[in-house]
Amino acid sequence: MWQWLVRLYHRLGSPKWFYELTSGWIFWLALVSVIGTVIGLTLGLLYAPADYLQGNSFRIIYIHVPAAIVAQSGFVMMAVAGAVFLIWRMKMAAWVARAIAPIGASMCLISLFTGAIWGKPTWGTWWVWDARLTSMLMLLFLYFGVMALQRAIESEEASHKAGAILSLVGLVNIPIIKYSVEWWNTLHQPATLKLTEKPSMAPDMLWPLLIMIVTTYVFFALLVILRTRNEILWQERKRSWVQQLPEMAGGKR
Amino acid sequence: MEFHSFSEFLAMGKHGFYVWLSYGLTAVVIAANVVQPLMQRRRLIKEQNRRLRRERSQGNKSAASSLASEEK
Repeated sequence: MWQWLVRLYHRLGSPKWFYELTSGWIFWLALVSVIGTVIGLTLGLLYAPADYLQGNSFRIIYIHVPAAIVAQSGFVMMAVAGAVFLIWRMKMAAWVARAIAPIGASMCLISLFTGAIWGKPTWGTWWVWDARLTSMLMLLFLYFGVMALQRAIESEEASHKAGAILSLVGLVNIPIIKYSVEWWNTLHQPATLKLTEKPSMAPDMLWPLLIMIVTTYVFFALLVILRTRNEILWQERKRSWVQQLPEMAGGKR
Repeated sequence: MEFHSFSEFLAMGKHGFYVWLSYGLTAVVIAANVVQPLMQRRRLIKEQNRRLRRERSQGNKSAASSLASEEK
């Protein structure tokens, strides 16, 4: 078991292994993303019944909630990758962290503006400084901060270290986001989905949401892989294995 | 199906503006996230090929170090 873990760790640390492994995944991840989105949004936009209080504006949930969930777990993954880099000096982990940052920030941005647009017809305002909204805005700024640090300093090593430290410190914000709707009186409604309880939503409304959450995770994985592969191509450009890739002029055809 | 006609679907009750604005902006952000890494990949490969060709044409003098592992 231990031997196997050590071998897996060495493989994960190898850019060449990662690049070759994921070559065949891209097509399937893209296919699942497209099919999941088509099914999820068809069910959500056409077949789910309108909410008895909010009418049809509730259909924004099918992008708002998946984006918010993935923005938060993306931040945790980025912090974990940063910790792996800090502790074991694994370069691949730093590259993955750098790949995650702009994608997580995009997801966070999507959840913020869909929330604002949803707030207008529901609460009568685009924005309030309530705990959930403010902590989510903090998440966006933390993403921006990490992105800036990851490229800020001359030495690659130091930039990655700084980015990793900020993402680890920023982890404090994640439980604040999660419990903000319980700790404070907020305008934001409490969590729609809880792992420990039966969902309060009707199944016709719930299924499209679950499909969209899974699809968003798959799509997130696809984007992280695409960006990490680009980072590998750039960082390893002097290595013979990159120069011999079939897509390169120097490669075997 | 919840809607009886396409125009009813577009209207979304009276929330069409909010729903389609949300979905439209999201589509833009998603598209940017897909296009950006694909274009970056194309650029990286193009630059790499230009570099390799230049190094070859220079008679492998300056490239000797980087291509050392390739020579057998």
